[in-house]
Amino acid sequence: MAVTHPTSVRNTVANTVVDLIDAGAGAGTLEYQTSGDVEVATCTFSATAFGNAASGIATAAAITPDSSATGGTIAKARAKDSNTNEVFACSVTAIGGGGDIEITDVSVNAADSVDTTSLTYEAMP
Amino acid sequence: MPFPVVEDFVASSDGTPDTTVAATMPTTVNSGDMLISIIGMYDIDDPGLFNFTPASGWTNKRGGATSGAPGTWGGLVIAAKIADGTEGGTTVNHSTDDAVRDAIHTYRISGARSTLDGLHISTITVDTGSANPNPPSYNPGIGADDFLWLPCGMAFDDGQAWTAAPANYTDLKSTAVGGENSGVSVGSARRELNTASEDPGAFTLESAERCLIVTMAIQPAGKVATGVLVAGAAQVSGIADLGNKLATGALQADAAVVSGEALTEFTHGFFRLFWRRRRRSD
Repeated sequence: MAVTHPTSVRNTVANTVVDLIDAGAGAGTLEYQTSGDVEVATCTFSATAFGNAASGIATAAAITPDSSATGGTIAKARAKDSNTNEVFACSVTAIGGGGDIEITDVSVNAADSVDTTSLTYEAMP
Repeated sequence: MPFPVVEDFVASSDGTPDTTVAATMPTTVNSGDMLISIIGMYDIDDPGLFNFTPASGWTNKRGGATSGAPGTWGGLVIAAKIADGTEGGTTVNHSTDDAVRDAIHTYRISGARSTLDGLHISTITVDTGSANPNPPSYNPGIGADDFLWLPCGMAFDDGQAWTAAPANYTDLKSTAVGGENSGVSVGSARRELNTASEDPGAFTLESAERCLIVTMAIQPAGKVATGVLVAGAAQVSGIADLGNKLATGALQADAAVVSGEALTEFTHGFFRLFWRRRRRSD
C-alpha cells in the first residue's frame, strides 16, 4: 500500500514548502525557464506567496506578471525565494500538454507579458 | 498568439463648438477590453493653441496639434483605457480649454494586453495639405508579433471624408462634421499583420486637407499560465524502474513509495540471482 498522510500533516507539509518562498527579505519569484535553464520570464509572488493550506492544498496569492519578458521557449518553472534559493521546480507545457503549469503559448517573445493567474501547491497524498 | 480583435466600433461627432469632447462608448464593454478613442478636434472659435484633458480613468497616449488658417488649430489625440466593464453604453466626456468641434472613432478591442503599454503609437506627423495623407512607418521596437495595425488621422478645415484606406487595409471608417472652413473629420482603417514594423500606405481624402496622421500597433495579449502542482510521491512500477531510480538517486529526491508488488519483484529477483551465483560457485 502507498504511504498516505492525514490532512493535518499534508497541510503542514504544504505550508512548510510554500513558506520557504517567503524566506528572503523580499518577495519570491516564479522563474520560467527554457529546457536549458535560461530565464524566459519572471513573475513575482506576493510578499506572502501562498495562503494557509486547506485539504493539503495551498493557493498562491496574487502573482505580479512579468510585463516585459526576456523571451524564449518555456519548458519549466522554478519557485525561488528572494535570495534565489530554489524551493521547487515543475514542468510547463502548452494548454493540454499535461505540464504542472500550463501556459497559453510556451513561445514567448521579448517584451511579451507573462501572467500566472492561478497556482496551487498540493502536498503528497 | 492570436491577433487582437476589434469587437466593436462607434463614431461620434459634435459640430457645435464647446469644451466638452463627448465620446460614445460601445453598448457592450467587457472588463479588460482595450478602449481607444481617436479624437480629431478643430478650434476656430478661440484663437491660440488649446489643451486637451482626458476624462477620469483615461490616458492621453499621444497628442499633437498643428495650426491652420490664422488663429485656428487642429488637434489629434489618442485617448485609451483598459475597461473595467462599466463603460458600456455610456458617454465619456473629455474636455478642452478652448471650444472645439470634434469627430471621434472609438474602438473596443479584445485580445490585447491588459495594460496600455500594449498600445504602441508612432509620433504624429503633419501633412500640410494633400488628398493622400500618409501615416508614418513605425517600429514598436519589440520584434515581430501579431499586431493589429491601426493607422488613423484627422483632417481640417472643410470636413472632408476619408474615401480609401491604405493598400491592404480594411474596414475604412470616416466621420466628418461641419462644412467648408469649419469642418473636421477622422479616418481609420486596420490590418492584422505579424511583423516587427509596418509602413502603411496613404489614405485618400475627398480633397486636399491639412492633416495629422499616426500609426498605431496593438500588441496581442501576453501569455497566461495556470498551475496545479502536486508534490509527487514517486511510484516505482517495477524492477527496472526501481533500478533506474536507485541509479539516479530519484528515490531519495522523491521520497519514493515502492509498491508492494515492486518490492516483492525486487526481492525475488535478488534471491534468484543469489542462488544462481551460489550454484555456480558450488
